[in-house]
Amino acid sequence: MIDWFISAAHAATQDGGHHGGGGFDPMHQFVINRYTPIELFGYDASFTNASLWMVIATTLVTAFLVFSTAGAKLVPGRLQSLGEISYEFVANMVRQNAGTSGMPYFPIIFTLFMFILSLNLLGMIPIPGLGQFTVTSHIIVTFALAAFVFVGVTLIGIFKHGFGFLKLFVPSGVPIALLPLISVIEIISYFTRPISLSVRLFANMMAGHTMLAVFGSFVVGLGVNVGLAAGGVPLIFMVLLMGLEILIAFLQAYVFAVLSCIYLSDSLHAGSH
Amino acid sequence: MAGVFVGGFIGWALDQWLDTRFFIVVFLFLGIAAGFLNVIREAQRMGDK
Repeated sequence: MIDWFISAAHAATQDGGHHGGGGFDPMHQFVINRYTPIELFGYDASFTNASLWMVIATTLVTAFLVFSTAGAKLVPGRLQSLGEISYEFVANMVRQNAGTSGMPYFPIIFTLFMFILSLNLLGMIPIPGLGQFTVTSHIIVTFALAAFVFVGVTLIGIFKHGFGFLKLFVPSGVPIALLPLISVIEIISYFTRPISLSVRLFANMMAGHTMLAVFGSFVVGLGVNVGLAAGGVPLIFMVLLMGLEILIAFLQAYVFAVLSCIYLSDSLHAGSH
Repeated sequence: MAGVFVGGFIGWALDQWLDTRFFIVVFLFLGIAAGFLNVIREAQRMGDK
């Protein structure tokens, strides 16, 4: 599947190349454009299309929450019930995975969830003049989010338990002879968290969008070269894949938030399992 | 999956630091074990629900 996918993408790029007029490059959608070059302390901190989409996402989420809570009524309207649903959804997720002691950290989980969800979903919408860009398809963005969760959760654990936090790496009921081995494995598994968290989100978004681009090129290619009816077959698939991609956009935001909750619960209840 | 990379990286770093050759092998295996541990944990968590 992956091999086919890479060879298809490769063939598509070789057909036209990046330069040709009718050229098609499924990876072109991930290119970062600098709108306003800014340099801070020797680092490139330009305002790029990624920054623009993040600003759009935060503005949308803020506007959504402000308008859905403004003039709250006992019998909610459509917008208000949408806001209430998203609150209840994340609140239940935190309660189920981290317990009621995790509720003080509800705001950060909610922010993460809404931010990632809006970035994922915005990536599905091409806007005239702006094009389409998925910020979460860049590993550096997802890694920054995951590293933030990882460092935050570790600090929470240390502040809550002090040295007792290290009990996380010493599972109870392990024979003393095996303990050094198990502890090393536990520590390695702890450090894989930010990597698996970030790679999961980034890989899903990038693979999905590349697949959409490749299938989209089939529609045009078959429709122009073979006949309109031949282009219709991949077009039907495109509609289905689009639905699947929207599902994945939601699912990956959910998975990111759930795993953050689980990591949070681990450091809140370190040593009691 | 990530376990292998992290284990390999720790082993490689230790090798660079201590000028040895065998840590990378040891930590690769430990990383594989950590990867399996993660998978088993996740499966258990899914089973709970």
